[in-house]
Amino acid sequence: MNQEKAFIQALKNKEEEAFNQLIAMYQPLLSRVIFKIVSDKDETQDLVQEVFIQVWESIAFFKEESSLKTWIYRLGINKALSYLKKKDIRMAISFHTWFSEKKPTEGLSSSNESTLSDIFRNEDHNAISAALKLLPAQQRAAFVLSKQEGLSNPEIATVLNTSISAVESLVFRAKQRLVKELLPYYQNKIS
Amino acid sequence: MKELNKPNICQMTELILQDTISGNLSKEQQIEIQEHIIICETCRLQQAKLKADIDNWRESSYQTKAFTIADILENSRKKKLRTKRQLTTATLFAAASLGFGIAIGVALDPSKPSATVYEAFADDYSLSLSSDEVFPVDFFNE
Ligand SMILES: [Zn+2]
Repeated sequence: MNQEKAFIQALKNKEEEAFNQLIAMYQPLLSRVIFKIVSDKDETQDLVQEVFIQVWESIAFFKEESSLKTWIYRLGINKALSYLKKKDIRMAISFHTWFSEKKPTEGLSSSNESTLSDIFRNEDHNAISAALKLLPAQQRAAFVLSKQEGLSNPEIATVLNTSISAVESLVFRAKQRLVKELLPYYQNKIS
Repeated sequence: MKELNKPNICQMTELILQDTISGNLSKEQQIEIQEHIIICETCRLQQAKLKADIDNWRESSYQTKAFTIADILENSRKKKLRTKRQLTTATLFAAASLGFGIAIGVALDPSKPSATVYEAFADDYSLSLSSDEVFPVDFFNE
């Protein structure tokens, strides 16, 4: 039995020591990726913990068809994306959206309403992360996995549970959208 | 941004963005950019700013506070208890509203000759919802 197999077996036996080791190994990765997608520190704190609870509860069902790392990436991305989806639904039905003149901009998974200058003015002063907030959630996830984590398209396909061609399209569209959104900023039209 | 005070309307900006973000330009286009930034200071500064922004974005990270599996299982248990309590309250409220609605409906039903609002309330419409079994708690976990 190799080291990873032995480790997974310890997790399946619900050995606390192994879980604490798992947390130490993957907490930085999950914090980094989830934060880049949801752009909210408090939510990231909760979501990262929820991923580990999910590992605790479902490790018995981990079939070891992918590496543990890929599986953890997948759980993390799913958590982040489903959080954004719920947030969009909440925002869509909130009174704020109905009655407020000013549209909320923070963390929308795909905000057609807000613009780069709104986000820039209100919350984020790094052009790249501000522009990322304008991307649909799946494109944002694919871009983060590609540009930030340096994963290959086949690896991203495994994490997102989709085809390589779908990943290629997601990453391509993400980059095109970023160029479009960032162009006015780098032309000094947004300050 | 601050270091670039004059508006930049150079046609090369988009190509520079394409190159740095997408990285899928042809060899000819890459050479065109390299030659251009030698003579255009604005684009040179811009390219440097864009690369710095990308590096900052990559390096900027948030690290969650340290925790152990025991900590998060305890947090999760507390959260479930809270959800359970909220769910119970919400369900009882919904049931009460439903009961009230039915009672009013019956009270105002003209086909029921001698019914008054009070008699209608006296009818047994109470739903026996034993608090914890309304939904399994996991219903709200994903
Ligand atoms: Zn130029």
